[in-house]
Amino acid sequence: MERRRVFIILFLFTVVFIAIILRILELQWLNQEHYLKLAKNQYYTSEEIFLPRGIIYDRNGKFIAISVPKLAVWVVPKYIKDKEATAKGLSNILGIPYEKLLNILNSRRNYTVVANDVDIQIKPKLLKLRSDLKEWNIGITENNIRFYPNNQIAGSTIGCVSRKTGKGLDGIEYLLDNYLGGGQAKFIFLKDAKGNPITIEKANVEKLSYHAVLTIDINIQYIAEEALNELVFHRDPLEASILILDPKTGEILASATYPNYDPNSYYKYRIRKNINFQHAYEVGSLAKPFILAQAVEERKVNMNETIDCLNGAIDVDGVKIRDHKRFGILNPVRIIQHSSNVGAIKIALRLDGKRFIEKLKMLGFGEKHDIFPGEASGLVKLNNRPVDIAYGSIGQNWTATPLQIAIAYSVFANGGYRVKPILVKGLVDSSGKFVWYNKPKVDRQIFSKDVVDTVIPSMVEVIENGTAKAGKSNYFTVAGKTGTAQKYDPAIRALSNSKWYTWFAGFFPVSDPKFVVVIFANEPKPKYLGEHIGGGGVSADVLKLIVDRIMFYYKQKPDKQLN
Amino acid sequence: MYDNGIHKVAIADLLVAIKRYKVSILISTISLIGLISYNHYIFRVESELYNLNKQKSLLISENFQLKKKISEISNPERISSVAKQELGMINARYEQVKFIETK
Repeated sequence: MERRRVFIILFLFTVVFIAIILRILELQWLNQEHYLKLAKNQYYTSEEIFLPRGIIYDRNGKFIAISVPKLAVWVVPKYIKDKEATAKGLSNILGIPYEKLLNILNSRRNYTVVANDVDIQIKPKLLKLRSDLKEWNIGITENNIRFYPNNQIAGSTIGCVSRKTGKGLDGIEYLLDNYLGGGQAKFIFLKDAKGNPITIEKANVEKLSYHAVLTIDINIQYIAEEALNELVFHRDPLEASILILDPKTGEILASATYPNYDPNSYYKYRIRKNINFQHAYEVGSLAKPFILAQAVEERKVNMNETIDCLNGAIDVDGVKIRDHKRFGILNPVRIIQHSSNVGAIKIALRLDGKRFIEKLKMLGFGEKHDIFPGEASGLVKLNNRPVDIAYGSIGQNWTATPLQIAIAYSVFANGGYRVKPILVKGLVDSSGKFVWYNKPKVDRQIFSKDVVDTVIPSMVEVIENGTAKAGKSNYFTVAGKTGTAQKYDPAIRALSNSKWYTWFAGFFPVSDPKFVVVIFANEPKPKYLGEHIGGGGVSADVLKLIVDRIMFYYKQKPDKQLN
Repeated sequence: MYDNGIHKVAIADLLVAIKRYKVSILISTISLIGLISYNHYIFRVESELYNLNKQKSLLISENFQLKKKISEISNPERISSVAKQELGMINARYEQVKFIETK
């Protein structure tokens, strides 16, 4: 009987023991994650902070964008014992009115941030105040804010970082978001029994980030922006831009746009586009040098021949296309110099239409270069009909971005090659070593050196004695072409006679081209009543300013004889 | 008298026990001293590491502040404005520039 009782008790003990073991297994193993989560919720509280992003440098190592450590100062008012002394101490350090702080301490109970973006140098003072007052519920969290020291200079190209997520929103910041790092990280605070944060337990801040080196030269960028401001001041256009690149490497040295914005306060701006990359426009007479080059290449034109420009109008497929002046007999150089539509059309009609369209595509028109977020491809959908070729040869009915124009004009400046545009030179690690380098690349040869050398003198004449002569430099030889395209006016359902796109594209110094420049304006206004709007007139002053200043900055010797 | 006797017996027993387990006691004592010293060393290293990390963090922050200052000072707009407005400088004309030919 007694033996049986012992067995029963032992059996009960064993059952209880096994039940306990099973329960432990359930808690520790089967539902481990669930209970860990519950424990975390009970003991920890979290706060999100912005991580530092990689620095963006210009090509010479100057800072374009940096993350600056800042402090967030917070309090848990319900645990602050001496509210007056705390408010007074914080007011002295943070420069926030005492009454405001006292009001926060008296009216709020839980975790409250009293100041953001506080200078990190103040940290020792805050720690001393906390220690002196023994108020452990005055807290400090380190944060990072993105700072753009050059303000609006290159703003639309660099882009900005969201104040809410710490991630890139536009421009280079968006393009390189995966490499620059940043974003938010969760800091976990250990709570006491009452839910009061007492210490930082851990943070997931391990994130790989690189620094970026751009091809932009911030000084050239500033020169371009100053020149663009002049254009905007005198012409009040809807949009305008200047793009400068190195024709041999495709490296973009400056990209100035109007409208522009200051990335430090990006949220104040409604428009944050970069028209150099993101918009395409009809190019007008900028197309003419390409026509001439192709005609030279296919031996469809002799540079010494004369062409009758029909006194200012030509009929193609029953459509009358007019010139801006009544030109008579001109040779190909003068056709480019004076920008005769009739002359250019007559040369273009000698070309095979398909090959003409193919050449435009080879030059990079109608396709994205994929170097900037939201890049436009432009539109080259010309038909093979003579009237389409005629309009195409004077830059109507097809569109291009300023970037595409710059790359296409590089072909003339570098001996006939299409280069790949580059905006990001590379990525460097914290030791300054390149982990990725964007090597300049030649896409393909478009024209032979002989063809290019044959066309360039006509482009020099454009600046020396032609449509852009007002922009002539006294020191350097510039080659280029002006362009004026009529805008389509939806009000009259036809091409407008008062709204224009104006262009200049060219390169300098002609002796050894180092820079390609594109100047664009959308609907520039006349300087005086009755002024004829044209690419030359609008761009001339800007061109002159840019050429001389850039060449001086690069310590280049004039290639013209000084008087 | 009786207590004194008990004490003597207890001490004698303790001595016997110490004698019997002297190796174990020695090993335990050495281990204990070693453990305490090791803990002390770890604490010292950790505290030093904490201070160095704190210092590093402050220096990194200071470095960023200095970078910010440098970048603000190098702003071409600021330099241009100081040059033109405060120092009365103007853009140079090429006629005023002498180029020295180098071999």
